[in-house]
Amino acid sequence: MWTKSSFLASVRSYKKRLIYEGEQSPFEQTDMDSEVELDEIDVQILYALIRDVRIKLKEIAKECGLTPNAVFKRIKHLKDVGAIMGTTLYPDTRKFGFTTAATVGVNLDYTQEDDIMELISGLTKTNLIELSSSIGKYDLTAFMLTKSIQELDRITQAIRKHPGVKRIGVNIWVSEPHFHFENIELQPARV
Amino acid sequence: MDETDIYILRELVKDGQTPLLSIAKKLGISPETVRTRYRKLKKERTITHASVTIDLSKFGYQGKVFLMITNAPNHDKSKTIEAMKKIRNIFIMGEVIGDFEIIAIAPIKDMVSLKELVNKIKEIPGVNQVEITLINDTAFPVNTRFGDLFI
Repeated sequence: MWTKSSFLASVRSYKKRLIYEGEQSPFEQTDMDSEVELDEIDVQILYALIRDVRIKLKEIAKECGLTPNAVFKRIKHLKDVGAIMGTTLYPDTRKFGFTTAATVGVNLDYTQEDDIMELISGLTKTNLIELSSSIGKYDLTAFMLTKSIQELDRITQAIRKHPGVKRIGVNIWVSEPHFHFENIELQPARV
Repeated sequence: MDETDIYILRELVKDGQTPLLSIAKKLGISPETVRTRYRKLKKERTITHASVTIDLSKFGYQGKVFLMITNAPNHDKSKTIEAMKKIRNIFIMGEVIGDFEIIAIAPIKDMVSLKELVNKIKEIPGVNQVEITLINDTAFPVNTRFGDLFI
């Protein structure tokens, strides 16, 4: 079994958040190894916010049997301890012209990983959702949005040309992904 | 979609909990107009989700796994997807073409939970092969403000 530290050590992770260039990401993770005490009510509040982050405090309060003020304090606490990293909305990317979504995996010469990550980040400035170092089938995994198959092809061809790239796997999402955020299992956590 | 819609979207991408009243004030229009616009954007599904971003490491998770599946020939892919929807913790899933046919994403706690998850998927009749890729990012659902890219 992995321990947390050995797992974290075994995966070198880079998060290229070009969109936050020059400013601190609001989702910057706090100390990952410190767990905090979060009870069942905190979890209940989180599920309500996963369903709809714009839910009224009054409604959460009714669900949990608390006052709206108590719910407000708990949400603030969840933010303070870093359990809530931010709030955002997810637009339908196709309505903005991004018709092609792809999960691109790269297998590479490990000594050239940093260089290849730089290359991908540069090529995909306005398209890159996530780029992570990974273990398993792919050494690097990227999720990107493009306006056409041709644009995706240009990007993948350029990655392929890098001498450190051994193999590139492209998986194009053919339909709207099925999102089921509430399916996540959250349980009260202790220090 | 006009400039007002775009402005509302931008503000909400930055912070999903921005009060519509403060957006109305900044734009110098009535709160009722902003509310109507927001409802319309949701109804026509320009906004698909509005959610918190949670640090799953606070709940014992160490990373996320990409489950990459090849479907068995003569098995309906949509049936495999339906069966996978019933598996706890898979929160994004969809049909792809390329190296694989279905990709699903789930958070993982440890080796035991990963193995259980993979075994559950392998039990589905339509599943031929499951390959995995692990990342140690614990931001749920994703570590990015999607909309910052293009709105």
